[in-house]
Amino acid sequence: MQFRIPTVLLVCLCATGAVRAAGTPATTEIRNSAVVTYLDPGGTPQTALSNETSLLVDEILGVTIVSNDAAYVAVTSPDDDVPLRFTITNVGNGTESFALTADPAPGGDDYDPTDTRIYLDLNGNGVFEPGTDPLHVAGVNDPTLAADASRVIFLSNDTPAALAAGNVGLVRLDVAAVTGSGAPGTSFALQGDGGTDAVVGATTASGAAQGGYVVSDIVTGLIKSQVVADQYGGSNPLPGATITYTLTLSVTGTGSIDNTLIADAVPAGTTYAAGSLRLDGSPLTDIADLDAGRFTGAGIEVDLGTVSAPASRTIVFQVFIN
Amino acid sequence: MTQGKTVLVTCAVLVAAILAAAPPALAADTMKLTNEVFQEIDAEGPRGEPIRKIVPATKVVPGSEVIYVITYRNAGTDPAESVVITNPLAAELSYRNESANGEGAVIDLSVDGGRTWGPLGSLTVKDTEGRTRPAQASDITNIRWTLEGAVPPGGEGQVSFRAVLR
Repeated sequence: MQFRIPTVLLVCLCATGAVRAAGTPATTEIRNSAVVTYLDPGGTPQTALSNETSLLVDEILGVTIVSNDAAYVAVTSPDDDVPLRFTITNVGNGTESFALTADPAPGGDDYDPTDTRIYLDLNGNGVFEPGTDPLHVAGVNDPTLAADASRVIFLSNDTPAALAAGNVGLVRLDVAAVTGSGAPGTSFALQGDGGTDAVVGATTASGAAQGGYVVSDIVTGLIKSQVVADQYGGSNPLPGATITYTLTLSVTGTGSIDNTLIADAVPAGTTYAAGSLRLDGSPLTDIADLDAGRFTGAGIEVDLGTVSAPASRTIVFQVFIN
Repeated sequence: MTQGKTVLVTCAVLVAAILAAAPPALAADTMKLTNEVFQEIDAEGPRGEPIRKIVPATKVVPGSEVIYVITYRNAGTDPAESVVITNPLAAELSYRNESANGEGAVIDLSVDGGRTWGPLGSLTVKDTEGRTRPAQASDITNIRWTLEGAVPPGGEGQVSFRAVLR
């Protein structure tokens, strides 16, 4: 079984000093001058300075794109608005905007996904939130990235009905620097940051990656959310405040999943609220007994056994902030 | 391309120290010093064959190599003795190993802003944890040419080196 669990992507910008992975920032001025010392016939030391030369660092255009999905994403037939995840990275040395084009019919697969839409993960939380994440409109909100910055792109598609389990649908996402792309060394005079030239680097300032869906009989998803309530009627995460966690398991398609165990650890810095565990609104005891749930000391566990599609199960528990 | 070593003396401080140490000049501006920077580009020869051409450099992309040429000239009426030319390297430039040239000059390198000098093989740097390691060409902060003879009135010459933009 495959879980469509939202993950938070951590992007590490490991830049120390003025030089980053893509090189000296565009518009940097490199100054050089030399000094000569000598003795005159009287033995007196003398000094002379040369003129100063100046070099302007041009902008390199560079981009990479990777698919973040380790395997084909499971979908039912039909299915709606299921995202594929990609990350684009500006590997140049200046700020640049990037054009995105999706192709749901790249060939080499069993079906063409439909209703293809690109969403930009502008709030950077790695969670597919269509609406909060803006819909990409070509030429209007092409993502702009500083040197070394990355952006997660969601590619949402529908899957048509009447497909067989195992059918694969591929979608390709192309990215290209808006200033220009092409053979490395191609120069776009004065179109770089600060009036420098923009020069295409080794990546050709363009790239493509592919993601895909596989029609599965059964698809499961687990989503977690939290609500904070403090002792004073507000929602500030103060010591003593209560966090209510809600875990929602969804099982769609046809068939069932066995040995379904939902587990969640009590986060560091909090204490489990005894007796707060609920399944679909009904309380579960904290001790290991005949009901589905228990508190292990480190977290909660709920054993749902076999769950047949379609199904939705909601688990709730609370902690206090220490 | 990060450098894990301690911060070095800057060019401005070094120049100020030299100027502060020099008493008022009797024969001012005898030696003239000119600094130019070039890069090699691909071009076509007279028969359309691919050649390399050296042109003045004004704009460069990271990763490209530039050539610095320093021309010295004795514009005075007296010989200049013990002539030493030094070039502090901008932090964004990485010295190209063994590229320093100068006829009749002894060439030394520094990794500590010009406090100590020697051939690359004799120099060491400290990393961020304070451990010592052999210096690499990319650690060089200053280049020095010590001319072996006096420069006579009207005499001139050139020294040069190459560096890669980080």
